[in-house]
Amino acid sequence: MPDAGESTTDRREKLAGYHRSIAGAGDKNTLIEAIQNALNVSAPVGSPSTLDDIAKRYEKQAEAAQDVFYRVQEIAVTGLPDAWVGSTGAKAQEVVSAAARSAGQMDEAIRGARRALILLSDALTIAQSEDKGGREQLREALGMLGSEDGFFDDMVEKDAEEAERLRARNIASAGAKTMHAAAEKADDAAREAARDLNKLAAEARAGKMKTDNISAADRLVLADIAGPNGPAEMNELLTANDLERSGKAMERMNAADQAEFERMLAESKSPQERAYLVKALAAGHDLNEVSEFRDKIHGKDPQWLQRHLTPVTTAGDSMNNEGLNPDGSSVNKDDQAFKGERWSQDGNTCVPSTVVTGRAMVDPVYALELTGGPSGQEDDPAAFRERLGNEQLRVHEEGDGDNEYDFPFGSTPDGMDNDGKTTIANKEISPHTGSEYEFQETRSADARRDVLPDIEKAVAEGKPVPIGVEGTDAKGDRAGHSMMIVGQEGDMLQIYNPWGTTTWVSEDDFVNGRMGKASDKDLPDAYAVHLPAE
Amino acid sequence: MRNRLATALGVPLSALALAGCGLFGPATYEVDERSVEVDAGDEFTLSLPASPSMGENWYMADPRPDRDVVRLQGQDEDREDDGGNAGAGSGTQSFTFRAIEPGTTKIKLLYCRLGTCAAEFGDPAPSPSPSESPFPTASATPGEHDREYFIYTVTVR
Repeated sequence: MPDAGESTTDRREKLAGYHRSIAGAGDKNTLIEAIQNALNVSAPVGSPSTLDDIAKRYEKQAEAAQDVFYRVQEIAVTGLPDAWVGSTGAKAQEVVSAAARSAGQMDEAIRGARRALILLSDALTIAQSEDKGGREQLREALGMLGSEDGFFDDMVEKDAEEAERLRARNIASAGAKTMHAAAEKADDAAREAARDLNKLAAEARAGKMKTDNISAADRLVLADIAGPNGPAEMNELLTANDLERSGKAMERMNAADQAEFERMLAESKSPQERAYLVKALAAGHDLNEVSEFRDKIHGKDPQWLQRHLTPVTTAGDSMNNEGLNPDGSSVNKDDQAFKGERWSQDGNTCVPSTVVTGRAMVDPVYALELTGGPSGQEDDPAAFRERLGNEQLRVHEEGDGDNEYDFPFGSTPDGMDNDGKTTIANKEISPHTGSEYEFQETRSADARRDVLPDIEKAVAEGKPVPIGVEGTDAKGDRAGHSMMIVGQEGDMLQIYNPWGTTTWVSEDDFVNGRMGKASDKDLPDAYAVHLPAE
Repeated sequence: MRNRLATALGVPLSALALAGCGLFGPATYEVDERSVEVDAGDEFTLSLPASPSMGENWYMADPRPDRDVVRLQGQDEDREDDGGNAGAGSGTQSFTFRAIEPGTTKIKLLYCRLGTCAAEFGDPAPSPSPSESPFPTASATPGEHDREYFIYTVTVR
């Protein structure tokens, strides 16, 4: 019986294998078995008409959202009095602007979802039709072959029987190929739809903050706050996960703490200051720690805040394809630096360096310790470099990393294994995102394709995904390196390399061994990922 | 934890055995041996640390050495397998020269780490872009700067 519960990727892999078995079957019984195996793989599952119906409903909802957008936008541009409407210092103008942007994004999101569903419906219709045609060919071949040979039948095959078997094999091979192509279409379409819908769901961010402790107006503004550098939609300060976790943290507060936190938000000198306080709460810090952090950042301008508290910013032109350098890296990569000093590794510490930057991205209190020092007020790149290097060494020890002795005394870090990487990701990043990391090997294109939806969902929610890349030279000697997926837009992934840069690569690059674009040609294959659990 | 004791023991032995001389081939000079003395007609190799996971590379820079004194014979890279870890890969890149006639000349190499030169090993050394400061000349072991020149003085007897 076909297994309707199998994933689209399972179907694709199974049919690729059975197609090879059919094409290579050397006798009648083997051929019959391979054909039956292929027929037992389920047809592409799903109802295009249901998808079309949902898409039609979305079209009407998009029209309504667009109407709201135009009406709110009109108010936003007319100017409003400098009055407070939220309980945490959000001003009327901020709220209306955020509402306009939110309505615009909602319109865009609903249209995006509609498009994703229509594309999925179209692809599914074609895939189901092709699959049906392929199955008919397989059944025709089975009919030509008749029943399986018994032991003695199998000993002699007449010329006519052989010719008929080969003809049946050709027909079956063509049928299995068609079914495999259909499975590929269905798998690609399902993954693309999942990717787009997950991203759109994560972008509906204001709704993630489920707390009555602050008003809907405040939540709307918080979700909308971005750093001053780069496009706002690529540099929002609070991720979906931040909004969800901070909402839960506020719900757990007693009345006095709630009032204190609201006071801190209300007294913030800028929307960014307010967002970083919420981010600190989301990172798991208690009110005392948030209060101490607040004293360090209070009144700082948005540029200072971004420089000290956000290790990775995304430039507007960062996704442009500017070709490759001679070493196989992308020309278009962005340095991620604190006053010119990059967030880069010291020595052979790529794994701890990846994790340190990953933690700094989700925990602004930690980021400030590295950039601003114990007082939080320093602005010195050399001191930052020293603190960053020391922290990388501390985390290297925490992960029980390897060391190379330096003659006659001393030692320097010399890499880390995957167990160490799991340990430090769970000790350093997980407590601040709420998701434990699990190691997953991805040493084939299918394995990488299979893991993509989980990666997309994690990074869309704001949880970085550490990855391992590797390459071997002509003699078979291997080199491995650690990097991290920190963003996703469409079919592109933003990669942080602890060489101190970020680069966009396509998902196709990730699947098909072209990760050298984010490092160099010596390190093309993503062999493993550390996935945050749900 | 895997500590590389073998390397530690190997360093003093190789230092005794190979500094400035080759047992089975051209004399090999390590990165900190910046003065090279060879006889005319001999070959010698500059062997330099280059870890792929650190994005380290070495390039011949201008001005090139006096061709009447030494000539480049070849460039090679050799990676050491990292045993499945991340960030443990060490390796070397080497430049082999032939000493031609008695005299003195300088070999200028550009060291880059963390992929900062974006050039392939074997390419000529990239120059700083017009908006960048000139690359410094190294005074210590590689790594003080992301990009720095190493200058070797070669005397051919």
